[in-house]
Amino acid sequence: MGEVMRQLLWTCVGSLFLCSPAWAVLGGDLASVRGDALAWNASISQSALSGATLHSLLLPNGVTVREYVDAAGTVFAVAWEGPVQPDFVRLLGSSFAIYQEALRKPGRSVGVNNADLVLESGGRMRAFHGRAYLPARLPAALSTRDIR
Amino acid sequence: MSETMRHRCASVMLCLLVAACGGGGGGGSSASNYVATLPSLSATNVAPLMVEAGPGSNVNMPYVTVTVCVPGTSSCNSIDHVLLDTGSTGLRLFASKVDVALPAQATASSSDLGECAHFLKTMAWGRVKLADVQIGGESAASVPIQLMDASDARRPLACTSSPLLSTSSSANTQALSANGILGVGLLANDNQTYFNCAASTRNCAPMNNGPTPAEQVQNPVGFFATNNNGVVLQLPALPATGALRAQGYLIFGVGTQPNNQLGAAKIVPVNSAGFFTTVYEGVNMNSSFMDSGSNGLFFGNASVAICTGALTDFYCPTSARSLSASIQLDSGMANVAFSIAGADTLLAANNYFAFNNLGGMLDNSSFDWGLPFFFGRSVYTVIEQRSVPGTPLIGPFNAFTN
Repeated sequence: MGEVMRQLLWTCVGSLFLCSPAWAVLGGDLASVRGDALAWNASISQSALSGATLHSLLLPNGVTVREYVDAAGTVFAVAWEGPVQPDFVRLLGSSFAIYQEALRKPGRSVGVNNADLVLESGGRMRAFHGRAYLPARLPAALSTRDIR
Repeated sequence: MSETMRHRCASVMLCLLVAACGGGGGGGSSASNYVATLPSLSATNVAPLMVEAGPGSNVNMPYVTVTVCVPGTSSCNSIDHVLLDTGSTGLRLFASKVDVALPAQATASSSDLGECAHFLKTMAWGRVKLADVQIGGESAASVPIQLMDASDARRPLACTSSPLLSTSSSANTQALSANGILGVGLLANDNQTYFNCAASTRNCAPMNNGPTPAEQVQNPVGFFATNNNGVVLQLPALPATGALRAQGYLIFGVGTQPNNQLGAAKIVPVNSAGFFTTVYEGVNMNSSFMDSGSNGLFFGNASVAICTGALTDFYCPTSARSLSASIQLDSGMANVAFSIAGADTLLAANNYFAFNNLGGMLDNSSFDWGLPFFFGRSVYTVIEQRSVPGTPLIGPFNAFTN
């Protein structure tokens, strides 16, 4: 199912999500990665990248979430794929409100591209995928193409 | 309804649409009432497919009528203007449109299942029920379907991160411009998130042991006694100015009847997620798909101007652009020519609802061949693990005629 075009009656962002959860992951610390694994009952594995560590979480519902942590211990990027969308409230943390705004634009794409946040979300039922990162925190040795 | 819209209008396009409605003033020229049709086709496995004005103001919505009955009885509701969606799996109707008492889908772990179904920008929350489903002359017995209900107070928090599909838009809901969704995609079951609403918890509870694939919401086509391996969509070709209405057919089965043969259609293999590769401007877009539930052709193209204002993310070239892309076949590629016109001018010109040249942006790993692709073609969707008689072909795959 696609998007809706002439229905632009949104007037406000759901106030429920305007506050930043304490367990924010994107922009959060290493502990938040472990917190995710626990909350999602996910198995977790890690691998080394140039200037970063990749933590891969496999959830029981078939969703894979990849969380990228820099040398200072900050989660600067996340990526996901799976049959359903990930728990964006938890995954995006303080960036969730920006994601919600992006959902309300017409058209099919879900995108944010500014100095603070890049977010791409795509796919369809049973095959979603996407990524989000903080451009200013991307390690110099890593390309945006490595976030996937 | 239009009065309400006029007052609540927050969108330039919605304003233009209403203005076009009210300002026509009995103009009555044939040009503003163009209806595109196909030759008559009547058979048990055929249902009318209409791209027309529906409950809401969205364009390029292909609608069918679906009848749901309490299993084994003649207690039924006929629901018109259900969105025919080859991009999802399962029948989802707004609970407010169904007044017969459909029984709950009971499983080993819950006597009252709830479901959160995910779309890219929205979610559908509601209970899972069993219904006999009739579409055209075909019927399916005891199919698990979803009754969407955005107002259900027991909706779990896990189903709140996207706007909920509803009959009208509000702070937390998104109007669908349809009375439901008939998902007849490549996959047999929907594999979404299920909850136990028989639990005594305040919200329907997450499940450790969810329904089995066979207990989940299903593609109803797979439940038909015959003509159950997929669907063919046929819609008439359109002029560049579009049409008030396009009348076509939803044909059940592929290669099972004289009216649904593959013939010279090009076969498009897909991966386990249902994606194929489209090559556009030299870029391999390996998450491409054919989706009648997308109302435009969605793909990345930096050289086509994006609309400003409320239509942002749709394309608004000042004059129509003739473009082409190639779809990966089993061997070789199929070139597909298409046109993108300005969404602003298309929607402002007439109060039309069918366009073959409406498009918008998408990430550059995907080419979403939405409804504009379906006009003037037969587009086939074959369900996973179903075979096509007389051929070695097994789903999932797509096919299309030029």
